[in-house]
Amino acid sequence: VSAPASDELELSIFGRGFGECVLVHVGDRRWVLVDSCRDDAGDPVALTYLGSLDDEAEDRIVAVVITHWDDDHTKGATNVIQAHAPREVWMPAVLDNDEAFDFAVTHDVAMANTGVPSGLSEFRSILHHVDRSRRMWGIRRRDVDTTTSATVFLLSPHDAVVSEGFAALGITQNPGFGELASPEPNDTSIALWVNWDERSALLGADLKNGEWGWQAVLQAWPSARAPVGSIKVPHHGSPNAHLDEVFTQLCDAEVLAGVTRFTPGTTPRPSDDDRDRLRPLLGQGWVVGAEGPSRRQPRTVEELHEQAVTLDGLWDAHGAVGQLRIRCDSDGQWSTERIGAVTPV
Amino acid sequence: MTIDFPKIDTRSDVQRDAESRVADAAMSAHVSNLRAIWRSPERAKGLLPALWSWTKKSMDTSLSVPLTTRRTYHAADTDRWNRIVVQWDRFHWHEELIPDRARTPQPSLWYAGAVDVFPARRQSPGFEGLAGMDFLRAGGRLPNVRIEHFKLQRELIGRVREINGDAGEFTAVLNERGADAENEVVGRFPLALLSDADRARLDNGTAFNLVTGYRRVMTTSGEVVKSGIETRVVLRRPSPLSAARVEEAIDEARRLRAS
Repeated sequence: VSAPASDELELSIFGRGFGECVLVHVGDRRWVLVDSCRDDAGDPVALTYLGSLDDEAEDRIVAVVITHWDDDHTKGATNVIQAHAPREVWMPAVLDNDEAFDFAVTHDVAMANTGVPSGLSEFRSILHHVDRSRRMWGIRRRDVDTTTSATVFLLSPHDAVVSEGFAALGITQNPGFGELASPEPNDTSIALWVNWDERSALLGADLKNGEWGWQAVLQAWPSARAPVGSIKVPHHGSPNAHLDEVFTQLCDAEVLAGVTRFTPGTTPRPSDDDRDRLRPLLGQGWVVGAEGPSRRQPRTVEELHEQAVTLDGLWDAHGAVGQLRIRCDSDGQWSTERIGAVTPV
Repeated sequence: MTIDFPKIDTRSDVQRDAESRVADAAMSAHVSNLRAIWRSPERAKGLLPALWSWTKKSMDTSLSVPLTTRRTYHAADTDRWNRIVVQWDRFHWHEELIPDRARTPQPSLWYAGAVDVFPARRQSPGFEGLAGMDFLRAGGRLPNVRIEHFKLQRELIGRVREINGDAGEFTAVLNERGADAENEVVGRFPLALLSDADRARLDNGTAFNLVTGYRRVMTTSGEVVKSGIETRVVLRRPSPLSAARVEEAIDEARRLRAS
């Protein structure tokens, strides 16, 4: 796989139906990792991809951003951190609170006690591998240290969300009971704006469209900023993260977009309605990740009965990995390459 | 007492018949034992403290398996359950779920427990104050006893991912216990599978077991009421962490904060 030129901006968006990851090349073989998922072999897709680049230079992940703690965004992040020893590891600032921190660890211990995986497991593991000097708490208006001239700027979470702390974390239950979820409109997800010599990209994470979500981002957006040339569409194209203005006001008319697929929802995303809504707003758009998960064929009587209580059987959660590679050279020319399971919006 | 129900897809007819006869004989012996104890209620009454001691121990260390709509039972995390149902009439019954892997109590203990929590107190005004043995002394009828055996064949552990109340369904990510995350599967389930209480408790991330096993229900007369494969969604109610474990977790959090 050809490596990007040292002055080329690259956004590689990976998806597989349940898990997403974005790698951003910020120059000189330096990368920023935004979220993490694993490939079919169980390796973090980011490590597999960087290992496949055909350049002599050593690629290095200088910063890791975990946008939030859902387990489709965190798997394998610890392996990446161990392999690349990034200078900064960003996590939502709501966890920078003694009580919330204690709760998060206790909650994960309690969930582990039940044998059920928790979205916080990878977080706990990350904390074990990242000392305080490298821990960065994500809140809007802070910058990731890319070590290059590229800027990676935090657009969220809003201060109001962070000040709500526990409420924003969705902590309404005892440890071990249920997953932590960010209730609308309080949204702790870290959305990012990438800018490098007027080449601009937006990474929407799962930030929702509420008062403290995209509405707040739009209000704070300086009009002087260059139009966004590529976007990782927030929250798999879901309507609860959609605002037309994000595309019409912030993005170039020819914006290149990647939407990561999400299959475990009651409505798999992006749905046909999501696609219809997005299509007129995008220059070109692709759905990243296998088109549909494969149905598990029951082999035994027990499996047959197990599937009889489901509405449409059991499906593999993890589809084939897709990669949408968006590059922009120093002249501002955008190009895309689709690898694996990538289909047009 | 344990009855091993063999896999139906691997046995020959001869094997099946032979094993069935063994199982039925064991069940008959067990039922006879129960009847004998029933004739000596005083003996059963003396065993009450032992029963509650065992029950309390079981509750402290087990997960909850609500197998009935009327009560929530606590069973050890085991692959075999025995449930005893003592039913006086359509309004009065008692059920006990016995985890087979845990110390299986003597039938007398099951009976003693059944009598002690006899529900007539609440459900029938005429029986107020007549609980358990008192009811029998007052001329209560010999109840029908049903015994249910459940042998787990397959279990997936799931966590709820999304609930769509309007569509009456929820989705979940499931996996075998301790299996690699890459083997996770996704399922869409009707909310109607759950009781009203369970539905109210369902939330994103709620853990549950999807259990499939062989279930056989027998009566005191030895009649097999029901026998076959059954699948259920059983919401998990994890045991609260012990104070020591909570303290340990908070210590870990403090260390992480400071490191």
